Amino acid sequence: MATEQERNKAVILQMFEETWNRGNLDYINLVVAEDFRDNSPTHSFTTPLLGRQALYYAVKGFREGFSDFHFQMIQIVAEGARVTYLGRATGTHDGTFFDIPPTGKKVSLIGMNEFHLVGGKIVERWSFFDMLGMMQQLGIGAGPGGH
Amino acid sequence: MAESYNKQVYRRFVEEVINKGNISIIPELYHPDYVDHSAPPGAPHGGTVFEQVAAVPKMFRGAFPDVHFTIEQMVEEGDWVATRVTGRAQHLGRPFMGMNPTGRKVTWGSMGFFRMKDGKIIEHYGQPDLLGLRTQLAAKPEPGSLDENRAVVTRYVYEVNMQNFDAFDEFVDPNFVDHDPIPNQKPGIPGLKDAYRMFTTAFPDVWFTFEDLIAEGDMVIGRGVIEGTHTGNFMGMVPPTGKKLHWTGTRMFRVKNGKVTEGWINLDFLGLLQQMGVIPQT
Repeated sequence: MATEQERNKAVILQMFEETWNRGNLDYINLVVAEDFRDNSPTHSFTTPLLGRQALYYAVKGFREGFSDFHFQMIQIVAEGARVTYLGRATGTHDGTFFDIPPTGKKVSLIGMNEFHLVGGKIVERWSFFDMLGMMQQLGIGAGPGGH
Repeated sequence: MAESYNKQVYRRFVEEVINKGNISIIPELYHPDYVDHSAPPGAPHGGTVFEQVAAVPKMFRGAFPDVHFTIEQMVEEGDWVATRVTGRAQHLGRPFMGMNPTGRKVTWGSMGFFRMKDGKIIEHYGQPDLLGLRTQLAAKPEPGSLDENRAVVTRYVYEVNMQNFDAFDEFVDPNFVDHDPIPNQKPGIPGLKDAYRMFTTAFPDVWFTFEDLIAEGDMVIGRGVIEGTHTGNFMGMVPPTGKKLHWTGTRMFRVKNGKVTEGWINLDFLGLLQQMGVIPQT
């Protein structure tokens, strides 16, 4: 029988595949707790931080901006209830990314996540995505201080 | 449960190398075949592996002399340790990401993935919240706020370091009062420039770094260190020794309407004269 740690890793890998890579937003209801909390630091794009809608709007926003958005795992590291995921995200900016109209540019960026799971559900996450690199690759606000 | 060896290696990196600038222990923590997949912007290339590792904390501590990382989480599995930290610092030193120092207090998060081999770090990916950091550094302080007063004093010290005395009119009040003048110092801005030129004559590369800066009311007070190479005559008294000297100083300023109006300074002249060999070291 798989350990809790192995089950938690499987949940995270499946979540990345279903939501970020396939845009299956309903899947969030299956694996994310209702009282989910998002602690991600740079949240200029995803407005809500509490509840499943936090992850829902994050995935939706990225997939609307980048129809081929895809996370490729580099490493997954888990210890009991904590799972961390290191991946490279790629995509073509062919849609409106939150307020940014499409530029047609391709981006390739590192993203890191830490998840806390309870009873097989994701209750918390911390996301560190290379938003500065994203702005520079899109050619937006890349100078000192931005804007 | 005692912390694992690999987690202790990372903890030593944060607590000794990042928080104290103790770069001499880097060879104990990093593998000679180390590969960094995420060198931050401005990090130099070339040199030995250990020099490249040292360049990152050197750059951070140069810009943020009081930088302090708190380890929030370490997750370990197999050869890997994934970490999450919170960095806290004041931008008191060198420019960072193209922005001049403002004294701004900043807080940012960061994650890292470290692969270990033979008890040492051999591979690293890092993702600091650089956008959040840059946004905080670039934020304009409220007029009349403590943040603005800190920014005025930080700019004053930075422009002195750059020996850009022509900019003084922008942040020094014309009626500036120097409470600790050099002998026969003229009043106001002209006297202030003379006092600094006395130092830059003796130490052409002189650089003052605040390590603490505290603002309250219209006062700003800081504790700092000064470095300079003694290649010129000091105050008409001490001929050049060619030595690289370090001394400490505490400075206080009054700030009104975005300009410094009064200044106090206390320097460790005893330590300075001892290093110059004028007074014997006991």
